[in-house]
Amino acid sequence: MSRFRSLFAPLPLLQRNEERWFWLFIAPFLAGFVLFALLPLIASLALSFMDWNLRGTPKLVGLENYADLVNLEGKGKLVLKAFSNTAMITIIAVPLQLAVGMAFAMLLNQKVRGMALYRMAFYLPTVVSGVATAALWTWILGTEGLLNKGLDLIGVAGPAWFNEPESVRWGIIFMLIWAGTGGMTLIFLAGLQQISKELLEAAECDGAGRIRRFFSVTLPLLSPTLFFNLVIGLIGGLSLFTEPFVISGGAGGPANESMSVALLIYRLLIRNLDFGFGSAVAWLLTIVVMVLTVINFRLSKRWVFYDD
Amino acid sequence: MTTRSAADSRKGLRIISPGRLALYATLTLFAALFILPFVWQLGGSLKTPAELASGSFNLFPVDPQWGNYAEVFRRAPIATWFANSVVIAVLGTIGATLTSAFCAYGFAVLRARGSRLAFGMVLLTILVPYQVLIIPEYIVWAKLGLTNTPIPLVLPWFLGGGAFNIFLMRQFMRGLPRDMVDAARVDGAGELQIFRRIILPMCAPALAVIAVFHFIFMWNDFLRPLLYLQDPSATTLPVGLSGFVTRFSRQWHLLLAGSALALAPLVIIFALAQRVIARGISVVGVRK
Repeated sequence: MSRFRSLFAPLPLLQRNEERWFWLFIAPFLAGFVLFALLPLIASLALSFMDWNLRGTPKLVGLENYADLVNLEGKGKLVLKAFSNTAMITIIAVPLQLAVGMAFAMLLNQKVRGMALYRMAFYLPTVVSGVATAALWTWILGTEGLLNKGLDLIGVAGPAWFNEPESVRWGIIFMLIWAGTGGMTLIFLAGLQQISKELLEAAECDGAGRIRRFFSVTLPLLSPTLFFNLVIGLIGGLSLFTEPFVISGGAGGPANESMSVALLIYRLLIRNLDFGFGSAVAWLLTIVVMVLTVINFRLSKRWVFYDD
Repeated sequence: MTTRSAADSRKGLRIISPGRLALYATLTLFAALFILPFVWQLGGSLKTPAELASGSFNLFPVDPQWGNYAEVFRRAPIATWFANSVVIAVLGTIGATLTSAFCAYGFAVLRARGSRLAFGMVLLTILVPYQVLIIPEYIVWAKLGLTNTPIPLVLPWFLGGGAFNIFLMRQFMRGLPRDMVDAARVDGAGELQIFRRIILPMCAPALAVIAVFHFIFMWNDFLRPLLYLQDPSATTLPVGLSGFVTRFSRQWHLLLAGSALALAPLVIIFALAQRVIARGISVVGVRK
């Protein structure tokens, strides 16, 4: 009640003036928020209860799109496929990016000469990631690509990575690790450099070995950085789009094995003009992302250590 | 501090230990693995189709085919795509950098009721996946007849400049000394003046970080131009290039030359702005 009153109580002139400026300064954000976040969000929720393909008027169909979503014999089959592909790629790629990124950061943290050069080498793939590198990888991982030629030398016949249903997702995972590790490395490195040398030296004096020092000092102090990288990695994984689009020419093939959720939404929008069903899929993705984020933040209270 | 750096330089003169040697060997090996695809690409883009198919492991061809690049330019409107990419990335970067600083000033310096609520909206926006917004946004831009113009790609960045950028700018501004703002107010300076004359110049390092990262983001952005710029003459380099994979599926020399052209500006920016990028990452990584 008291809080309620304070909202409407008259303010001193100077403070009121400051408030007015506050709203003026954040006005662009508010406009952007309403136009490019809030209204589209509401519109897509509304569309998910409709049937519309740009021609004619939208028709209310109630929960039909959501019924389609769970109808695994019909339209829902591809949705399930897209979600399971995306989940599989994320669950394998993100922990590997984290582990490799952390390992590189630990190596770089040992007062290395020529640090700038190494840093650049690891980070370059992250900066140029996207279509150009995905195109490059279609060549390296092609049937007669460089990787397979290398495998030939040791007597292994590699698959046509992006053309076979069994290997296409592994090819994408490979690309993601190559492209995503560098960013994480640099963020981990920044985190490692914040850890006080005194603490590590004190642990060493107390007789803690390398492994013990890592798990008892470094890892807990690095946990906020690990958490940050995890959240960023998960969001990136769940919105996977460019790599599957480029390697499959936008089709999500072969046999829908590279279809990601984002690619499916794109296809429903551009190819099928199935706005209602597409919006239902988009909302399902939003809910998944939100729930995962909440779970992530809840769990983080148990293992992330903030010293301030 | 001085004793430590003195000890360091002495260490540098000593003969390198086996442990250090292993460390450098590991780092160099992995760094090479990360860089190798680019070198292959550059070399491959200068080979003849026959040489590419022959399966030689030569990094660079004996007889470089610079004509591959000329052929790419002949076969696709690369120059147009390149120009479109530059216009869109530059405009979007200007918008994001300036308006995120403008809005962050409100959040970081000015006190108001509702400020926490509004900042909550900023954080919420970071978490909304872009995919949920594309269907209604696409419909509206299409109905307005603004697809195949840069407007759908550029305008949103002038309205707030992206929630994540506002967040970063606010963090940075909160670390600046407040007494200068108070002193300026006592002297009768208005908020716009304080923002422009005092805060903005002090934010130069943060502005540089946001500008560089946003430019890279805009240059690489794929989904938005793919949606809004379907006309081949209006589209950007990544979108145009994505068609190469299917169009030139057997003509690797053209694909490699095309993607080398798309990478070049980023590699240049990366080399020039290395320090800004490194500093930016430590800011992002340390203060969440």
